[in-house]
Amino acid sequence: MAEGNYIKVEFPSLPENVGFSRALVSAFASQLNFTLPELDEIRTATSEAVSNAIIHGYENKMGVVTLEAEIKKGVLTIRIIDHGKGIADIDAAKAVQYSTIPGRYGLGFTFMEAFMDSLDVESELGKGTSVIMTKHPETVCPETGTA
Amino acid sequence: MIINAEKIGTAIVAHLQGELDMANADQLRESIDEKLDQYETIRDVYLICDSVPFIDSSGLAVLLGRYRKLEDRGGKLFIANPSSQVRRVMELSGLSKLVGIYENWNPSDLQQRGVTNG
Repeated sequence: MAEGNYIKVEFPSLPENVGFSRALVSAFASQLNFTLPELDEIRTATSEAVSNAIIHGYENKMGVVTLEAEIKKGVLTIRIIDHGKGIADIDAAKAVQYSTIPGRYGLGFTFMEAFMDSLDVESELGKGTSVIMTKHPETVCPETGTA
Repeated sequence: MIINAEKIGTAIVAHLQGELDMANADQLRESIDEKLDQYETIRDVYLICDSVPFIDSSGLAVLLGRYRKLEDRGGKLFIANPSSQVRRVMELSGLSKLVGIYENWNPSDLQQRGVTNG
């Protein structure tokens, strides 16, 4: 159990870093007893959050994305932070098939909500957006009775 | 992403290798559209996904766009041998109801669907 472990990484808002970030979070999350399908869910949610930061937060211009992950009381928390344009209407942004950009699927938040235990979005126009997600392993360890 | 696309009769069969996200979604779209523009006779596109362990909504958007383009031509998009992650997000997005999914792709399936070489 990697109780109290955490990582904090900053990287430029390059599309190539979407794959890097989900691989990093997946490797970190493996310190908890997540199943492979659960790790797939974590990878997908991370991919969507970082893609949103690059596409919507920074509108494909250069910026810095901060990725934090920590393990506390058997729960994984992921934070994806950008200092881009912010979201005007968070509830609208979370709606299924909503996208401000034509040709995009508008499923980013849908996947994050479906695949993680919790999703919180904090945003301020002109300041940026933080996406905070948590997940705990569903499988209960028979020896300790904990996840 | 490595894309090996070939025209077989009235179909494009593309073997994909790599994870599909915003870093390479444009590459896949351009690769398929280039062939669609080149050959007006193409109806169906088969994406062979044995070696695609991951796709996110950027990749799904490319699939949805190709589906619509092929639908306009009276054709269809097929996804062959999707990984569990690919199948899962396709189901959650509703895309699995639109495109054809092959669980055990075999090249002879093309002949059974009336697609022949030449």
